[in-house]
Amino acid sequence: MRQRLLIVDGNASFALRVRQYLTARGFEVDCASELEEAQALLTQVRYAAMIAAWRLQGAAGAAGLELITLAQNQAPWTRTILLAGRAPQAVGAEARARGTDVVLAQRPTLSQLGRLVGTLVP
Amino acid sequence: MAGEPLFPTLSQPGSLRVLFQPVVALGGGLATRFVEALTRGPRGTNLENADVLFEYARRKGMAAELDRLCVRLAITAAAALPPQLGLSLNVHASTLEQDRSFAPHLLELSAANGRAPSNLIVEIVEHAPRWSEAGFHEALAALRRAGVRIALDDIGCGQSSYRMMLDCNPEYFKIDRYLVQGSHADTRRQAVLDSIRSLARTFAAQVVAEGVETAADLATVRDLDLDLAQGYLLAAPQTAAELCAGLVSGAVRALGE
Repeated sequence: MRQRLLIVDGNASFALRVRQYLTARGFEVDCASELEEAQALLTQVRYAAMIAAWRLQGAAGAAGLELITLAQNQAPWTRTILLAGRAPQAVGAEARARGTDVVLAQRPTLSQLGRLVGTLVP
Repeated sequence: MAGEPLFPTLSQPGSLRVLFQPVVALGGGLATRFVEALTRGPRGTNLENADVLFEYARRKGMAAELDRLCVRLAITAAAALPPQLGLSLNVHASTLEQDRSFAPHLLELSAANGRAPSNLIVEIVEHAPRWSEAGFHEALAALRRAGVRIALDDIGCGQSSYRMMLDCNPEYFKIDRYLVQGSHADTRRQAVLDSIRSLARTFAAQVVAEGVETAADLATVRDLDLDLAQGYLLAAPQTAAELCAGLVSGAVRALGE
């Protein structure tokens, strides 16, 4: 069975490119742009990994941190990658404190992301 | 899916779909006793999965709005079904608690669509811990006074606790599929099912085994003297038109009540 991934990002074109890239590499990929949508997916579907932007349109504060906490509490099998581009440094530190696997300070290329997911989800 | 917020699109015509799954009598030649209305979210979206749909609505603080929308769609769609066929509607306990006009709204909808309250079953579901109780009990009492029967969903899992049994005093105990599936080869599951049956008898309630998908599990729940069963082995969720066609062809047999 294919491993399932969740991409959470309000940038629809970025999410679509990541989805296409990772789908072509054998993953089943869901995308969410709203915090509540991502929370619902994370608690109702079993994901091997989640790649989440630190901030989402329409959500106050660092939504990515909320998702990392939710994953830790309710889906501890889900490996997490926080896309922390342009976030204050404290966000990355907080994400690590909450147990995220990887914090990326800059938006990765598709191949970088593919390699990273490959190491987290063998 | 990335893009616009999803909730506003749910109320658009055709966005949500209603399917009906027969609940059959184990002692009645597997005739359909009533049907459960099941909602599916917009095709091709994350919300097509009903669990995700309702969790999303709950997190948006719009569970009651979604429940209202779903019962309206279900009762409207069920107008095409034989009126004597019971209709079971899922309603969150939190909706009954928080939306004081929900019960009257449901009864008005039912009357407007020619369905007697005695042919309605409200299936209480809950995915959140309990809250205050006054509104919940008032709503249940109003439904019961009108003749609506109550079912408690997901017995044995989640928030369907002993307390909920006492609070709801249901006519139907719906046993979660987790306890049913694989029961033919698991004496512990059989013991749990048997204990729930025994408990239900004390409540003068009937027991529904959900998620029956194999002949072996069907034989087990029959041997355990459960009353009713539901699952893909017996009948898949289907549209009102498909269900009507099944009733005409004999593929689905209606017992009525």
